[in-house]
Amino acid sequence: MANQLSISDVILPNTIDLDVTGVQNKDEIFQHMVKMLYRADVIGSEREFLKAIYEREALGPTYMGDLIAIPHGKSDTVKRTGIAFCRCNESFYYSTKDGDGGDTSLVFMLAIPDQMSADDYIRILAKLARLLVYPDFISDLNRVKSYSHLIDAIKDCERLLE
Amino acid sequence: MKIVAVTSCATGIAHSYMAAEALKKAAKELGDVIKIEVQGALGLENKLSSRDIQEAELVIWAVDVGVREKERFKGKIIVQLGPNEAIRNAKKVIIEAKNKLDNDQS
Repeated sequence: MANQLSISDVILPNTIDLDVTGVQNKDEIFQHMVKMLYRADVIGSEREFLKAIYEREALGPTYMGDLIAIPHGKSDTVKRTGIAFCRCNESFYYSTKDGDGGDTSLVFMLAIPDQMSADDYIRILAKLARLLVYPDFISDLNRVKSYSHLIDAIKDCERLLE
Repeated sequence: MKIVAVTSCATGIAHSYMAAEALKKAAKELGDVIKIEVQGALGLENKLSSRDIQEAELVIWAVDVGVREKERFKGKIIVQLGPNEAIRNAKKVIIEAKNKLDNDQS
């Protein structure tokens, strides 16, 4: 196994928003999250990274069920691996190209540098996906009030996967 | 009960891992022993040996693409479903698969 990147290491205090309101579709949440990643200096260009996100969306669903979506993109505009997290106060419909999207209120957006190997890329996605299976983790995501609470919840659940 | 499972997904990449984790969690809760192979972009992860498969009392395929190296499963009764079913309702999937096995054997 290669180096195990933990989810909690790459979510930054300024790439989370636990109080998102007024989002009506995935385009709006994408823009919001890409902006956060740009301000946190995770990505160099909002436009370039959005392009990578939509290219991935075109391949297949990133809606995971249970009000959760994990859009992700790999691009040379990504300076370092980063994850943004948004919790929306009202759910919105997350569309997918095959029409199998669903109502969403929790969104993780993964920014992956171009030089990361495909294996490591899949491993980090896999790790996040595995976390989402645990109902306690989901209720923590809905409950946490601060960045440090969020990181604690993620670390707790990451330990479960070992 | 000894269970082996294979998960894969056509497009979502991460869904196969979610299905695997969901089955693992459900099996643990039901007191079963499970070994799960994820077939995806990384090849056959946590690959099941012929022995794992032959010793298993229950075989579950939570897949929406063809299973690779199928010949390992020759002679086994296989319960097949989509990965999303396993994600949504892993416990029910395992319980129903056990029931199906009982009916097939009686």
